[in-house]
Amino acid sequence: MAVTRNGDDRRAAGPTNGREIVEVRGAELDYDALLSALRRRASSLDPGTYGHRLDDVEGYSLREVAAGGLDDPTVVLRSIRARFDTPTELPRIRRRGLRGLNLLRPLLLVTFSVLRRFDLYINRNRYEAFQRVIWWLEQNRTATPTRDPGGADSSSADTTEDMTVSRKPSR
Amino acid sequence: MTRPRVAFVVQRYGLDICGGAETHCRWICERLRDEWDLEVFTSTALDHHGWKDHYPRGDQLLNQVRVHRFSSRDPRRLGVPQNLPGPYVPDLVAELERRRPDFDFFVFFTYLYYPTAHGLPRLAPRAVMVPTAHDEPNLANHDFYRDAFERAAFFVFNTPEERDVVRRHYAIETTPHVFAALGVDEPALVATAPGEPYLVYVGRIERAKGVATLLRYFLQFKRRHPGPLKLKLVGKVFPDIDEDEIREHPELELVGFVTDDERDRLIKGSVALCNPSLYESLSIVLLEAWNLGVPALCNGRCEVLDRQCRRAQAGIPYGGYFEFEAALLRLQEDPVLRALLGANGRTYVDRNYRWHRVLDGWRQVAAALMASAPPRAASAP
Repeated sequence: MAVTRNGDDRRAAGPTNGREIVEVRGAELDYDALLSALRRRASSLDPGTYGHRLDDVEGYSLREVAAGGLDDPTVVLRSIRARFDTPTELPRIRRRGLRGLNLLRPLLLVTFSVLRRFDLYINRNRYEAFQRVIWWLEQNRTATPTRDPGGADSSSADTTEDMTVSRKPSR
Repeated sequence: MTRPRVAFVVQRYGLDICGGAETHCRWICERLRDEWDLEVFTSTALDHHGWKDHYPRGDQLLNQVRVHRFSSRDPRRLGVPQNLPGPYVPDLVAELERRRPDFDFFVFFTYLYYPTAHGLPRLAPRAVMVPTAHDEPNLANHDFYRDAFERAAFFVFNTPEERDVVRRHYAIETTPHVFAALGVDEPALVATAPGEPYLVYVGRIERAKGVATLLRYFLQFKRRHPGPLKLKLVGKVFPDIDEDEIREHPELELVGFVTDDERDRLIKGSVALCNPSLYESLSIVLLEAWNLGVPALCNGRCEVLDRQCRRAQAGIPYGGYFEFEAALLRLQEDPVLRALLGANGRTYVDRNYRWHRVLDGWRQVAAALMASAPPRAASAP
């Protein structure tokens, strides 16, 4: 990875106080190259599991989004989709319900956009009502059957499932 | 210049208070107490959950700073919207108005709380605001905060990003401002003990600071990359984080509330300091880590953290789990990279966050306000 220039001059000395003393004389950080390299590495690590992957990219649970992500309605909607666009995980009846919910997404997007346009979406009552909806969705999600994260079929490529599906909402 | 007489107003104040803005205020007061006549007006609360009385009401001298404490009251009886965060201290506001002639100007810390939202407009135009604002939904609540923001005479911002965030919501383009966050002392020699590698988080252990996400990410990281790496959590655990569940995981270690020396030792010995918060206006702990030459791993969705990491070239912002994983793997593997990032952090702190620079900013504020102030009235006894 092209991160340091003149890297030949760098060397690590022996351990002191449990940590190594690192001689960086001559080494120079190419910060932009570092970030690019890390982004590429992150892409290569990402197994691309549809649905849950989006949640990881967003990085927030629904409650976290509800607690503070309302300034960007697209984050809310993508997060909802990340949680619920996973038909194979869900019983059929719930799957249908959630697909129905997904159909409402364009309407939600328009509503949020209008509210946002006129600075109305922050109204506290609406905000709290939305939080309650999110709570309901969260509870609903938790009740769905999930894969055993430590089960026989789990593998490193599968582990994104663990984070988004099987954990109870308190975490 | 005449010695400024200044009232500082802050939601909580004390040595054992866990909170960035509160610590910020105390440090500024303690640094300026020898050149300004300053007094602090605050609540009796220790934490922001219910604003219950903890410290005694009345006056107290704390590290040679005079502190006046007021109890929070029931917002329903005051007719205050309950979703305006407390402490609900109308007596504090009344006392400030009564003592208006005693002070050259008033400094309000944190836009979010009742004392600033209700107190600042009453003390305008001699009121300075230190918003410590994050890009959060509350900030857009114009009903609560417009008066305070638009009537402040001066702003002290922590970062250019914070100023930009506030400007997106309020018409403050013509209000003068300085960037004078807080300073960091030159680090003492910090000895670290041998041990297994760890990532460290320092601060309030609560959901609002992104800790739940960090725990989720770190446990996922450990499932994908088993090894000796641990996550040490330093600070007070708040009720929305399940402490027992953390203790179930051997790769997580709850260190609790520690002394400053111990905190520095823990940061210095770490692979990196992680700040997963979405809402920061500065991040004191980030500066402390950089001051110690330790790189940071930060939530890149927080504009302040992201831009600070990039400006300093001392931290890696991540935008999701896999970026977190890639960055942590790299930091673990590459001691030279850690040293280079840490050295950049130290340089950044040297250039921007030493106390003499910060206090110069505050002196500018005082000079500007006192130059435009009417002649002093006689002090009240």
